Amino acid sequence: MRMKLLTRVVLASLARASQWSALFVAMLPARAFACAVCGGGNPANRFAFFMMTIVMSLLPLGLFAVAFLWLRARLLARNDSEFEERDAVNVPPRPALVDSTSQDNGETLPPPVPAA
Amino acid sequence: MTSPELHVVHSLPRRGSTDHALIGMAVFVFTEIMLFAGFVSAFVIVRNAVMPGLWPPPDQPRLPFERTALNTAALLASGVMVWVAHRAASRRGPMAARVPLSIGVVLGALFVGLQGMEWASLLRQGLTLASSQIGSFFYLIIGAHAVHAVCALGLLIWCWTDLVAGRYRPSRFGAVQLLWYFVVLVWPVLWLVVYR
Repeated sequence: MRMKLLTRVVLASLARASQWSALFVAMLPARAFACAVCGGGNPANRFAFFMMTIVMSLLPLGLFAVAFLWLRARLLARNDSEFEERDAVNVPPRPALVDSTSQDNGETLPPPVPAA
Repeated sequence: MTSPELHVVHSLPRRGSTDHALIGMAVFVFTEIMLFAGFVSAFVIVRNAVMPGLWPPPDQPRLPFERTALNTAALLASGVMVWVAHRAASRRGPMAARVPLSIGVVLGALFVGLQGMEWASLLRQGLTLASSQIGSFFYLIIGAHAVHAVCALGLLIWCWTDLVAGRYRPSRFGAVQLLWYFVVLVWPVLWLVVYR
């Protein structure tokens, strides 16, 4: 019973401490002006920072999308002509699948030589 | 005894989903796009941090936006000629790509040469790497592009010598083409952002 109570108190304390820590970390740059761009600066500078953040966030995603579409188009084009090369190949006549020592190799036998 | 089915399979040409050289170059170009995006981002933020009318600083020369239009035109024309060379090679054979690729290489070399002359002029006017923020950014961003342009031009000349010697390799040319298109297409962005 006491252990359960102790555990609950410890967990509640940890949760509250983590909430305050997150708030502290979030407020830190604004209070300390650690980043001259996002904490201060003129409106044009802040706007440029905001726009560049958007560009730098979306650019790799756009590049991934372009790469995906490009690969997809190439794969589709490849699949369209998947069997063209196979069909164009001159397949040699299929040899017999039996031992060469066998008499019954599928070939037409020469006419029997009449006995002398 | 060898199976006849195996013989048929081996006689087919090997096929991949796409060219490895092209994929490798595409990954490289991807990273380079992000590199230049980072440069441009830093440049735009720093330029906007300066009070209006103070960029470029009064004691620093203006970047020759109008004069560099000629370099830009040469580079864009070079990109077009390389594209024409690619089309000619794929439609009429490698020999048809010799003339457009030669013109593309000459135009690319013209761009690099004109850029070198421009740099020499700016250095004489006092714009150096350490003279101001604009000098630092100019030589960093435009210098990085120049390094890419010189390397890509060298690779393009390599493909051209192969073509002239009758050893045309579509895989290599495709990868080099991609790098050259990157050099060509990133330049107008740099020109409009940095020079203006």
